[in-house]
Amino acid sequence: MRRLTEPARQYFSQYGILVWIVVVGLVFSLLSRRFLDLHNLLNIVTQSSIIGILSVGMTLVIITGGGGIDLSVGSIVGISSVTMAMLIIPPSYFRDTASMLSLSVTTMTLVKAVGVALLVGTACGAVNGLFISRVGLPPFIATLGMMITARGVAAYVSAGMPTYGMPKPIVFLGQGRIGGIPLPILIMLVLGVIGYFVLTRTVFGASVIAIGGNRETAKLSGIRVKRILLIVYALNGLLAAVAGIVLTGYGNQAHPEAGALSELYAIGAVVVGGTSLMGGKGGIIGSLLGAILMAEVQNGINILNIPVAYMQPALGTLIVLAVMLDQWQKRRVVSE
Amino acid sequence: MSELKKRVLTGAVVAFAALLLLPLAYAGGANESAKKTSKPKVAVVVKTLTGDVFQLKMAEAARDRAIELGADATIYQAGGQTAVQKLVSILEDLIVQKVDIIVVSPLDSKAVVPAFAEAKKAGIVIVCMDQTAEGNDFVSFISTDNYKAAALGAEYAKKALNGKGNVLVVEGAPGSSVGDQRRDGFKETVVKGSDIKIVGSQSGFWQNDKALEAAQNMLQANPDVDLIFSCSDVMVGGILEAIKMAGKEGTIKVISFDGSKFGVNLILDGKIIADVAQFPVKIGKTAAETGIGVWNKSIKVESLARFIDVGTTLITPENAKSLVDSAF
Repeated sequence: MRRLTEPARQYFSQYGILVWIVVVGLVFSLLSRRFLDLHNLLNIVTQSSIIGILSVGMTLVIITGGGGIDLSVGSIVGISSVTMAMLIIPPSYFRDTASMLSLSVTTMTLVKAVGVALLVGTACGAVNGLFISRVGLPPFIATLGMMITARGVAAYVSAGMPTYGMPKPIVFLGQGRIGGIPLPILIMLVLGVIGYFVLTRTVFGASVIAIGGNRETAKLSGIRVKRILLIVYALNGLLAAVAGIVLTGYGNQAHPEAGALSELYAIGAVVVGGTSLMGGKGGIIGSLLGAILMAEVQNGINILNIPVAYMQPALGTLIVLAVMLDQWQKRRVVSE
Repeated sequence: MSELKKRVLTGAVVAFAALLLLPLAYAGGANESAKKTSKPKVAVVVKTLTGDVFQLKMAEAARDRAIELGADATIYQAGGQTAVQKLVSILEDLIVQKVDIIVVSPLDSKAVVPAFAEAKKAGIVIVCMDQTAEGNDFVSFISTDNYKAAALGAEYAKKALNGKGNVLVVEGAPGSSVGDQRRDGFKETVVKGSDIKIVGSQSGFWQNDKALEAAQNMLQANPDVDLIFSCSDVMVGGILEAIKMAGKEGTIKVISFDGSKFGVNLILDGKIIADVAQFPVKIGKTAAETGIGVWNKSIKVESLARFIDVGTTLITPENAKSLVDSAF
């Protein structure tokens, strides 16, 4: 009997989130005819994309264990958003973008703006990585400092003002479709697939998992822990910058406060997806599913017009339940 | 005890006693000088200065007016649209720093109550602006009457819809008294004496992308919508994007709140039909004047109005051109 249920339980513990998504989806579909249609399902996945992109990098960060976490991704979203915008708008527009701009910019300007924004995000991540791996700061503290600093620089760079109206290519990244599929979903999927392969099929990925499992053993077996930590946090910064650019196109607005609180939702998605906060195990697919589940809950609440007072407690409870389930499963595995 | 030891001991006791008494003399002098000084310390506290021109203009107006009136004034910000905890810690720090006047826009009407009570006990004059708090520990609340102002928007909506249609509301962040008043003012007025139905009312959290998602999901649930009311200009950009993405551009009327330059320009571009204007500069100035007036006793607290309504204007295509330059 046990040989039959064991693989089933393994499957469930990895993809139990999928079951939750289906169950929640069924409940919402029964309560509203407007929930289960292709357009809405695409909306849900699109709405999960920003957190989904963030959760790919966050999964790697959390798997490295030793308190691995990145609280600065939300602020990196913000700083990359306004960095890109400031490099797009003509100097005369600085401090004065209080109307819907429809700028046509040269490809060179766009490439420069996006490139610098991505660079800034990577640099923020690298600084995190250096403080964590070389200086030995706890990840919580290092990334908390970056969270505050990056937000401050974003406010300064943008004079505290949003930029309304992005160039068409940027808006396309957030609102366009290829083959009927919204771009944010495609970007999330591509990054997710790459992340999955890196984590499960490359030496780098195996090293990340080893570092999370037992840092001492990993070091003794020749893994360059410091270098890998630096790369993981730098990559996380890069992914946050990508999320920032997509978000800016999606809302057609660059904002110094963009991404506020999104680090918490990204961590929530990773945890709900089954990755352990202790490190050493987890999966990208679970994190993406976690992001989708959270977007699904928000979507259902909006569609059913449930008072917002219930929304955040619902999401919070979801995250707590997921962690509890994860801990309970671990204890059962250990006791066998 | 030898003679020397006795003298040393006596000397030490006298010196010690003098040391104890010295602060008394100094404190007495300090108290006197404190009463004579006319430079109050004013702290202006808002939720954020970033990406929220309303808060920025209001805070700057309060600070500048306080300085004009001879005070030392500094602006503090909590750093976010929902940074309630940070705002409360700022208040607690200000109490320790012994400021004289706090002019504040409390993020959450309940969370600041304990800090207000402590501040009042410490003799600090508290003036609320833009948003109010619960309790009686502040001397006055200066703002737009958000309920009445939103009602103005609702009357215009009724006219624009000829008294019937389906309406969506995008609310502010939960727990925001300002947001709740605007929502209630609009919702309760728009259904009075009309055939208008409110088919959806969800929170946009005062954020562009969250408002986009809320509007998008509500439009999914209600394919037949005639008008959307946004509780703030900071959210209306995202709402317009949601309408565009749903392919409904031009078929849904939008009314917003705040009267910022962005909102007025949207009216001039024909993207929204009305914007209920606030006057953050007037609010900030009046708040600073009230705070300093109560502090230097030139305003009697008993005769001070509990709520000072700074007024509102409805900006529409008819008057937008003349109001765009004065918009904040």
